[in-house]
Amino acid sequence: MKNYLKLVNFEISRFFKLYLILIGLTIVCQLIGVIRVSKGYMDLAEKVMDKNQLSVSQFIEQYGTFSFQRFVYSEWFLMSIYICIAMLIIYVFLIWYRDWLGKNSFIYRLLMLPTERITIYFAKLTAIMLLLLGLITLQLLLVLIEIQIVNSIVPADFRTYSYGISNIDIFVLMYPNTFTEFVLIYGIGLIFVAVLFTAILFERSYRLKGIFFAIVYGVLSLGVFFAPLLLNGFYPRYFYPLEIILMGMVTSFIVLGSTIWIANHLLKHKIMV
Amino acid sequence: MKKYWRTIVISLVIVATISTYYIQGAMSSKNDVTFKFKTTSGNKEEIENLVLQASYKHGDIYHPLYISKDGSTNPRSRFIIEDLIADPVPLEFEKYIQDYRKFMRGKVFDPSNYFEDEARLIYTDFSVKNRQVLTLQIDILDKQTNDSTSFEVTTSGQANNSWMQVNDVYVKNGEIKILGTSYLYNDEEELHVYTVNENKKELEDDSIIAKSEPDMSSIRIYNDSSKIKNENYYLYKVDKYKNKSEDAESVIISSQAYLHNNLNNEVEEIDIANKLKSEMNSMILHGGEVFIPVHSANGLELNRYNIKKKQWGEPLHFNFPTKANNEEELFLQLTGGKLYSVNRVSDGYSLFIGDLHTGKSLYEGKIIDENRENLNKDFSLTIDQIYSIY
Repeated sequence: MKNYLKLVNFEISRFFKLYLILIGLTIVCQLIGVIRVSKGYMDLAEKVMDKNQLSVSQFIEQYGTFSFQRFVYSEWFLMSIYICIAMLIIYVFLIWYRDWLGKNSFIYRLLMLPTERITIYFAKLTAIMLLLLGLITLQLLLVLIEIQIVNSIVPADFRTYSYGISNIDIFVLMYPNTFTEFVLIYGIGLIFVAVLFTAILFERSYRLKGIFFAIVYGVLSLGVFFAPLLLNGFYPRYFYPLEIILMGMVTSFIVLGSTIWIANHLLKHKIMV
Repeated sequence: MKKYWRTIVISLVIVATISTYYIQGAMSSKNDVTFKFKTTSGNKEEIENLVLQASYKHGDIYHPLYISKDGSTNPRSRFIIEDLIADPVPLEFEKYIQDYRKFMRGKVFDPSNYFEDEARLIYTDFSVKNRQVLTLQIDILDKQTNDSTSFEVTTSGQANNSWMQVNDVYVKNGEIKILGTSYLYNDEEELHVYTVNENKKELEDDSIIAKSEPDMSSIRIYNDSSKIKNENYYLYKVDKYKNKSEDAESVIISSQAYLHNNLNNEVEEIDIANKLKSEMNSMILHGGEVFIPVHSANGLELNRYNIKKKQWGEPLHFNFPTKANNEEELFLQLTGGKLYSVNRVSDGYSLFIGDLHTGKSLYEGKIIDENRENLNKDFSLTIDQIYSIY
């Protein structure tokens, strides 16, 4: 356990500087964005109302009210999200390959540690999930600040009534209504990262041939994972939603269990130091 | 410990923020808008088994709701993942799924496709075999034994159909009649009555009772699409247009309402007075009568046509507060010999229940927010359907 925690901390520390840059970039990008988008709307309102001698209600009738979604669907917000997603996806690969391809082939030291090799796998997996959840948390806090900024720039008469995060469709999957769903959704994310990790280990174990194994393994895992949904597609409405969810849970456990078992096997017997 | 500060800080921020978000979410959901009925006059038993399927709109956000005497519930307080997999199950089908779980598998949850009496539940739908042959699939459930039988009958010449839809199912004396609309590839529309012999399991008759031409005419059916029980008549209207084109607004040159009698397969025209012609779009078929509602400043005038007697009777007058907002349509439903009406009033929504036989008021009340007696002005409540759950 101690080794695992040490390794998690080690992985986090290695990415920390880049992580802070990512956080800084997101904050700056979104704060500038929210100010520009809401100010842009108010400037337009003032100009149009002044030029055409319109009342507030006439302006709203023609141009609509300002809803927080306007900012959420602006390039300022979407770009920052895309950058974070891209960085994390790149890091899923980097977290393994930098150990092999870095200056001193650091992986050899890692694999020689007096601990089960699968611990390294779990530590890397935990680090990725922590980094992801960290960004999700940052976004949650940022939205609260951004709503306040919008409220201070756009007067209430021009605003669409908003119930908060849970009613902005882009956030529905990021922050589902219940904590159980939150765990389910990020559990699915964890399975995908684990499958990618195991695919990377296939490549590291068998090199060129390993790429082929990794692709076959990836497709098989996705096939098993999505089997309940495929079944639902072939036999529409035959299964009730809860049954599909239960089947999905079973296939998720199968995929996660097998991915960890394969990763353990590869780390133990196929990756030679 | 100092060494681990980065991981500890990230973990603490995640746990604190996410848990605060969900705890706060759980707390604030208790303060959500919840509606209930407030009786003004009449018999409270009228609302005992009533469920209003509604949606509450505030700003640009819709919240689906079920409102009953016990308050309101959100039918979507279920997993988002469920929503991604399938459409929500309509209220009336929840009971069918509960009672006949196996039979209901793979079926469309549209009351138009079903027939039900004390003994049986019958489901029909169209399916295309080998992209050529259009068949009618018929599934019959014996409610007592829970056994079901299925068979298919082939319909004729369907190669030019782009889409088929079941509008109603009528079952009597070993015959299953299906009112179906077929949309042809050349934009024509045909209204068919298919008669299937239940014992022989074969198609006895396929008659086209109405046909529309693209840009020249259109067909609309007025049967209650939520009704699963037998309706002796099919009520439909054919509008003819003066050379309807894409740019110009369509000008209707004639509107004719027809009744197809399921007992003798005859079609008759209904004579509608000129003053009611403009209101024909809100026609309702209910209990052997055709109703045409006309709204007035202080209520509703319900014009009635007796199908058997083939004559218009004295209209019924119901007095209730009418809408204070032009953008919102009055909701009207005729169920079980009663009229249900929900409409906007100056301080919220009113619910009115009237007797269709006597024309008298049975219940008058309001739909109020449980937490705030006076609702914000900028919300709206749309009623989709009223159910009587017994």
